[in-house]
Amino acid sequence: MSEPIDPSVGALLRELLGIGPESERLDENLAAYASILEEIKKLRVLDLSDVHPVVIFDPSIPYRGR
Amino acid sequence: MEPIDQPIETLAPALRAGKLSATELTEAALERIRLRDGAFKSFVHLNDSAMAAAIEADRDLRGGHWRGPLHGVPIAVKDNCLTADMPTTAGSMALGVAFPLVDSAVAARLRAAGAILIGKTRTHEFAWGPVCPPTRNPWDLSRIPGGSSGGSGAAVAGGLCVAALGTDTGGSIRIPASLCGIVGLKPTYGRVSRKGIVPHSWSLDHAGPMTRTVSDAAAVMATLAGYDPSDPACSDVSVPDYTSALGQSISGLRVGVCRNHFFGRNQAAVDNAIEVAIVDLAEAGASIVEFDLPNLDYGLGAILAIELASSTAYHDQALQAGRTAHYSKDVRTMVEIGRFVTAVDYLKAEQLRHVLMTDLARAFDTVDVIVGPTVPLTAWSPDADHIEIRGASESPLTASWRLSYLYNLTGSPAISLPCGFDSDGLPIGMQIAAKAFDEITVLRVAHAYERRHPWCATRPSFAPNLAFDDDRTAQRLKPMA
Repeated sequence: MSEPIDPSVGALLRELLGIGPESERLDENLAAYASILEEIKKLRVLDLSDVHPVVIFDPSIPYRGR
Repeated sequence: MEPIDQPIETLAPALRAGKLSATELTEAALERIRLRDGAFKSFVHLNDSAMAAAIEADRDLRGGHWRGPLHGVPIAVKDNCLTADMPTTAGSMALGVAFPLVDSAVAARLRAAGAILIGKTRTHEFAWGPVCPPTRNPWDLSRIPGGSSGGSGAAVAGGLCVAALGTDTGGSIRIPASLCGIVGLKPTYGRVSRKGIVPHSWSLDHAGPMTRTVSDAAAVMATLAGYDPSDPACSDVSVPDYTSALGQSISGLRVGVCRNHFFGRNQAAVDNAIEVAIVDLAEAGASIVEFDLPNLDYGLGAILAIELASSTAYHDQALQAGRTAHYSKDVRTMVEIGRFVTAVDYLKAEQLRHVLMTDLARAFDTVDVIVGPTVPLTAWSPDADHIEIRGASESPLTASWRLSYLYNLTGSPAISLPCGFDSDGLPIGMQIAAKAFDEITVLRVAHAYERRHPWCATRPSFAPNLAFDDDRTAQRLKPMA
């Protein structure tokens, strides 16, 4: 397990991640996220810089059905 | 066999010819629910207007105004699809969760087709899980029905309605279909409008039919499919006649079997049932093409990043107001941990999706469908917090999703239909997927298999009267006057 986080760094992290009322459950949630993070970390090693994300901006959407 | 147990292709002509009434069918469904749903706990609300709708349906039928094959047929609606005449909870009892009394596009389409919306079926809270408590599996009341559309799965398998609506973000139609021994079709993303369905993850959510037979799935799909400009993701693509797929030979069709990822980590009974089904499809004239798909090892991280981030964005106001503290424990955790997904992780997941879609498109250059198991295992106990398969331990969520989420990431149509039972008598599901908007080939292969092996004719056996053990449920589902 990693060393305890400096309280001021912890506060900054919570602010960066937008963690609000659930902060009292931070340890529990980090533990729950650990196995998910392992899967997400597999993505991080991929070089996808030439791949467009599948979500494509479409400026015509508000005009559909008019 | 009683009328409520008949397929739509039998019911529709009988209703149209006046040999059977919508009133009789609706009464039969309500009676079944009264007798059996104390044990299944599949419904959370019954429609007070159902009998009135049935009377009106009969009046129209007598007047020659036949609205199609669903006219007068009792169909249940998953409790995350808004309905004008029934409350929607999305499976949540949390304070501050409220939804309007308006029809979702899918409910409106069913209603316009003359279907009788019999009630709302239970979902895992906000469609966020494979368990759907406290619903039980009609094949074994000590097991789960799967989720999140577990109420719909149990209701159809238990003979409480002819068909039901489900929604599917990572497998939530196909998983309960597999575990409950019924047919569940997740159409192509954009084929069916999600307007009025409580969002889980916008780019992964689908709605579709859960039925006892493939032909019933085709009949319900014919009503659900179609363009709706009010759903930004809905596609303006012409809808074919799905029933034209039924009864067609599969001779010459290329059936793909993806040998990596989909095999080797399943219960032995599941692998065996699928291998037998593949041989059977070959005997029916299909050519079997085996291949591997690259990049599938990255898929779980991708769907988790997208689903978590999207779900947390949807629940953000509830989260900031502290209302998620009233969610059930597992769902609260999932909604809270979506905060940890970084924007970069999310976008890399959307990039990976493009890669997977390209890989799959390449595979569909050489095959017409891909077959494999729907779920690696049969229905498990609701108390299981881990699942053991061939010596490896997994969470119920990742184990149950493993074979279904690819087609949410790629938006491809995929069906689950029964293909046998394990040694405990629990159903096994086979998944058939095709390229985008090719539901008709999915239905063609599924129907060809079902005709050779009508597993759907085997139904769970029930005690004559499964009494309610939950007073609140019994009260909410009290028989209609």
